[in-house]
Amino acid sequence: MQHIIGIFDNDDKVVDAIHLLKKQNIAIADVHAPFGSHHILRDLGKESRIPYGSVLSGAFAIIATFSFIYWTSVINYPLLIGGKPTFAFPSWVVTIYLMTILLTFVGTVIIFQMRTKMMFGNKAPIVHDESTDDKFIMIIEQTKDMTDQQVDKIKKLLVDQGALEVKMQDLQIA
Amino acid sequence: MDQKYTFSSKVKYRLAGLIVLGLLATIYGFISNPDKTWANLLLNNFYFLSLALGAMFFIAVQYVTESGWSAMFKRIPEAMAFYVLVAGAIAILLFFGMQSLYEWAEPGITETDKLIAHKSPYLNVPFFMVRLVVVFAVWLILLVIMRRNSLKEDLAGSLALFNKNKRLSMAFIFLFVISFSVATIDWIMTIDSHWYSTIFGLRAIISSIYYAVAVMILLSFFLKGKGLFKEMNISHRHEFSRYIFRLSIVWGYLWFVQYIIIWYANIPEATTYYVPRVSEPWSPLFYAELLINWTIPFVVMMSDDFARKKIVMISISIMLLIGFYIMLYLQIMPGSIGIKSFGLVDIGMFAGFAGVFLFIFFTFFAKAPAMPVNHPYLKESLSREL
Amino acid sequence: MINTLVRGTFTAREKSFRQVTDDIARPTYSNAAKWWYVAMGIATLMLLFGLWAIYTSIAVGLGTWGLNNSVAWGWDIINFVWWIGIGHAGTAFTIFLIVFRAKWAAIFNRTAEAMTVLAVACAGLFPALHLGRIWLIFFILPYPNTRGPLWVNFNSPLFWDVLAITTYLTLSLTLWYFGMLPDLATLRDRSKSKIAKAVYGFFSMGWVGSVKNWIRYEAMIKVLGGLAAPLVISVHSIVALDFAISVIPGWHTTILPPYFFVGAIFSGFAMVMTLTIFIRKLYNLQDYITIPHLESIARVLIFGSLVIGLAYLTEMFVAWYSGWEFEMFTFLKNRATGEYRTAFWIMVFCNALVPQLFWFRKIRTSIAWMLIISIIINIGMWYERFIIVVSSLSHTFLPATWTSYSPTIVDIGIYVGTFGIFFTGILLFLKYIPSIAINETKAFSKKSSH
Repeated sequence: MQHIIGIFDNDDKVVDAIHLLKKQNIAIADVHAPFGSHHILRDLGKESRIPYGSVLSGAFAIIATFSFIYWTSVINYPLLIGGKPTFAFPSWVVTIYLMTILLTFVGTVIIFQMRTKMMFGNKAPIVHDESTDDKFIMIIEQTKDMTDQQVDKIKKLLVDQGALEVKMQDLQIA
Repeated sequence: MDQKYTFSSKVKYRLAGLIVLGLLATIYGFISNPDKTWANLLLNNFYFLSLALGAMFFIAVQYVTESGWSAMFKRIPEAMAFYVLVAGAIAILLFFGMQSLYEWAEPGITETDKLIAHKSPYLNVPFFMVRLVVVFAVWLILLVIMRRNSLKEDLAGSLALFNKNKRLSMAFIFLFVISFSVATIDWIMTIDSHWYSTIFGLRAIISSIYYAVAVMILLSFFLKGKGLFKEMNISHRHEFSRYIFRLSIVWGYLWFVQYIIIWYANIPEATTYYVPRVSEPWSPLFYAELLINWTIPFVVMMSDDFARKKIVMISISIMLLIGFYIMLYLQIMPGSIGIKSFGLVDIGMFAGFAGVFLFIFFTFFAKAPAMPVNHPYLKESLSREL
Repeated sequence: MINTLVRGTFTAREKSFRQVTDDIARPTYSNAAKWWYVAMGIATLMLLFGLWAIYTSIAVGLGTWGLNNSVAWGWDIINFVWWIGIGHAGTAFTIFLIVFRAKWAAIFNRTAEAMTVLAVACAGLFPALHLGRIWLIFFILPYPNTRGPLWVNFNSPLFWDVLAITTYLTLSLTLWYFGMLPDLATLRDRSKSKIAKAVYGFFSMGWVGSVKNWIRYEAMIKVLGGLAAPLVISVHSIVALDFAISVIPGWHTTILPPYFFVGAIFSGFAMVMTLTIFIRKLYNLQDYITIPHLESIARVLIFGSLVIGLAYLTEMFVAWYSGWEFEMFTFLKNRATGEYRTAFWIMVFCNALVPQLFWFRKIRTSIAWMLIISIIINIGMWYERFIIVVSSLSHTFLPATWTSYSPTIVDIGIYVGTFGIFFTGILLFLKYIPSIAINETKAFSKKSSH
């Protein structure tokens, strides 16, 4: 698929370009940035739903840990330790608390890995090898109903907004 | 921006009504049950004193941590802090009720109680009063100086005054932590005169700022309704709600630490404090205290988006104010009067104190522009976005 | 967003994004300096000494340690608590950064987190070795077994400790790793050598910095940072509970958990200060780790020192106030005026008094003073743990059991060995990973109109 690539060296310019393109109803496929600029992210992305997954893992952790301690200490092998009742809830709090943090944490990381499909050794779909250094790469898909004039218009717009370089590139990105 | 609040006579009359109600309840209380009334005076006075000092602590924390977001609200805690004036007077009045509040103040107790005799170099009435006067003097002096600098800043707008207040804030935090620890140990912890806990002062310090922020939230919403603080937006609500959320964690942590150490070690000297509180008739309050002050705020405020809804913030803040009452009630009542009772007199007295607190707040709030016009962070605070 | 200038600025001069990358990442693709090899040599020697000591403790047994029947916890637990305390700094910086959004913390975050991982690993070594039979360490896991099945004691603070340390190590390691994901991608794209490209590429998980990358990444980091905040409070509190829930005088006091926590932040920040003073000099990062940055740490240290001083006072006062003779003996006689008075007053001097010098601007902005004071603090914090552990154990309820305690060469060897682990780790980190978060520095250093 052909894409229009605009290379910028300043995120303010990118933000302005995004605003202009949005006004003209042109969809931006992606922006590669060397740091998480909140203005770019706010304009382009949806809010991540990862935190909901975290809450779920946390709830699971609380229930699972409590049930496990209850089963081991009260049902399976009730052992009196230091004169405390077998159902010694106050001191279980610490274990439950720690397990909640641990499992929520692990759950969040797993969900993140699943959502982003990030794994060790993945090949990076690099569009421009300075996008992790000091360049901002704007990618606009050339849809089928886009005429050449429109493409030229977008290119001109990007150049007007201060893009260092604008080019067409064949990319396989989702 | 330099709008002032006008303390209308309508509000004045309403608050005066509350104060009269409180006075009547107090007088009736002294006739029917003087012991309980002394305990109530202590409770309510400490309640609002905590809010006042917590407000001052909040200002100091803002200065020291160089937080900009809160600059526009600075006058709210500043005015709240002036309740210290009344609190001092009432605290000195408590001198006459000491014998019904504190076991150690009863004459002749040192001869029968060895432990109190050991503590008597610290726990005696003259030294108690000296400490009381000293801590109030410290708070009042710092409050008056900081307020004066703040008002001067409105006219002059020099960075020198800001830096002065910053240094005073450091001094205040330092002195406050010591003096408020001493004060809570003196006034509240010694009610159970045999018992001790090293964390007691710290809990009171954290509680003071926790509930003071709740009051600040309520007052800022109220004043916004009156046309002030137009610039208050979601980012300020966010910061306020984060304060409540984080402090609820700290509060719960300190509560748990004290409880588990005493529960686990199971030393009779320490457990005497908790035994009556976890058994009838106090136990419902014991669990309610934890639920209201920690569990509910913690769970409800967990989600950022939900926590900054106005209705959520207001209801949580009101709930916390009830929670604070329960907390102090549990700290004071079992040791001092030992009977659980709550009735119209208690409500009346609380209303009276609330009236005084608000009356003082509005009086001092109306004296100065609602926002510190020349505060260096004010611009940042006003134009803040999420 | 308006940035009020009253706070002082944190970047010495403006840098382009390219310069930021070059300055910070340079050590990773240039040859190591001479000092690096010297330091590495010393660290390796320390490590070898430690390995010998560990071998002796396992092969011969714990009789080679200075422990005795009364003082069954000695240098092992002191050093354990000390290292855990130092380990708190990294997560504390993460909290300052993610939860409180304090920009100055960003600069220290990476180094401090590396320190955390290494310090917690060092700390974990001590209780493991103290088991004596380290090969049975898996008994602590609650698994169905043939001993009953006898489950682990969920009410035991020692079990909580194991769980807390494991959780903490997992969390800090992951947070540190994910924190540098974008930077690893930068190194992948910047490095010339094929091996480096492949290795950094393997670990950067295909990061390109797309919008989805960033959004999900930031959402995750925020959750992880939010989890780290309560965890960091709880880890040292749980270590404190090891002591506080016992009935030993001097240990059983309710303020111990918060006091331990503040102590941990205190010693951790001091260690970060010591290390970054060296790093900024050796790697020419003065433009990034500026004096105002170090000043911010100094402010936190003043605060920590005040709280600790207050805790010392409260403990002494309440010991007397309690009227309990054992408590009074421990605090007022044994610690303040008795056998351990030297250590006690060193502790008070180093922790409560010396850091107060930071009130003076001159001292707060002088590198030499900061270096000296931060080292003094860490010595003081070591003495604090010594006082807590040894003074209480050596003189308990029964005078017939009173003894003294002194470490042996094996004790010292393990302690030195943990320094070896720590410093080799730090040196490797400095060589292969940028010591400052590049992407965050770019995000914060930029002067934006938005």
